Amino acid sequence: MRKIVVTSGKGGVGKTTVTASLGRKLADMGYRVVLADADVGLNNLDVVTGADSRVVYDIGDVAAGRCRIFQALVADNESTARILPSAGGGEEMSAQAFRGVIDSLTDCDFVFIDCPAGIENGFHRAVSAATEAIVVTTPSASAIRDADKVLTLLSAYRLEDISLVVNRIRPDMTARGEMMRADDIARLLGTPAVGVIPEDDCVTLYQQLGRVPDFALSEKAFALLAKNIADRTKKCAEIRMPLRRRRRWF
Amino acid sequence: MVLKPAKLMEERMKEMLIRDKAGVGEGFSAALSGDVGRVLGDYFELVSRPAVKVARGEDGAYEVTVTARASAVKRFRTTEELPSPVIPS
Repeated sequence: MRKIVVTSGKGGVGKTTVTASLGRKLADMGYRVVLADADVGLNNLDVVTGADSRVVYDIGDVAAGRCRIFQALVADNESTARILPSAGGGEEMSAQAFRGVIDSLTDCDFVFIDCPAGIENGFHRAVSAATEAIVVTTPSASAIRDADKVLTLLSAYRLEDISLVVNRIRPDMTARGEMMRADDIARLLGTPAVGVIPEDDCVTLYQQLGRVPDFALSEKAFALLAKNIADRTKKCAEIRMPLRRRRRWF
Repeated sequence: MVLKPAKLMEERMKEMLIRDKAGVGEGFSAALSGDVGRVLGDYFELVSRPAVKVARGEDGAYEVTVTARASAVKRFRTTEELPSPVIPS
């Protein structure tokens, strides 16, 4: 079982979206996937996956012994992945207790832990339970700086692997030299980029309705990312924008 | 040649991350550059203010690099050039 924490330091860079989309892609590939929400205070994974109305027990209940782990798992409507939600309870949960809950998920291939923003207790709790880490950043200066700080902190943990995902890349702007390229960001942070996710309106539009369709550029990028994660490869594959057809009179 | 915004941003980020790792602020480098410039200015005709880069190595040691450009070495007055002292009779 691979336990992967998805973290960033800065909030709003797309940790939860990456966790949900990557988990769903791996579930589509036939892997048994659990998406665990470690953002205890500001839980959003259930909202992004549309499972919020079906949550009965949460991770805090499992840690407190009020239910069994399988009772807390909620099936994802859009894939075969299961969600381990946190419903606001268990803010005082220790890192050991959280790790115990994650380790009790034995019948799965991947556990993705959605880490809270910041580098306080919640961060420590989430990272302590993981064996690998994915750091999500965007091409903004503040996100890159926070990612660098998080990478420094992660080096103190016993993690087998640390990778980078660059989210919200604008291929048109990078082509014009107006936005940093993903490989430049990866070089700056000294961490290989395994996923480059383009800025995509489909994420905003379809996330409210259910699942982003496969034709969306971001979904294609998530498919490449999922393949990289499953194969443990470090290819920085960027999705190319479709060329605009030139309109002609004849 | 004018640098593109992405290149400018990369340069800025590089400096910022090095500063973060070194644990020194921008004011520190500016103050150090001013002081080093004053000392070097006694020996050289400096063309511009020296550039000071502070980085931190893998072992945690600080690496300070000073880059200064000068047009000439200042000529010191030796004791032979000084007027001979007047010894009162």
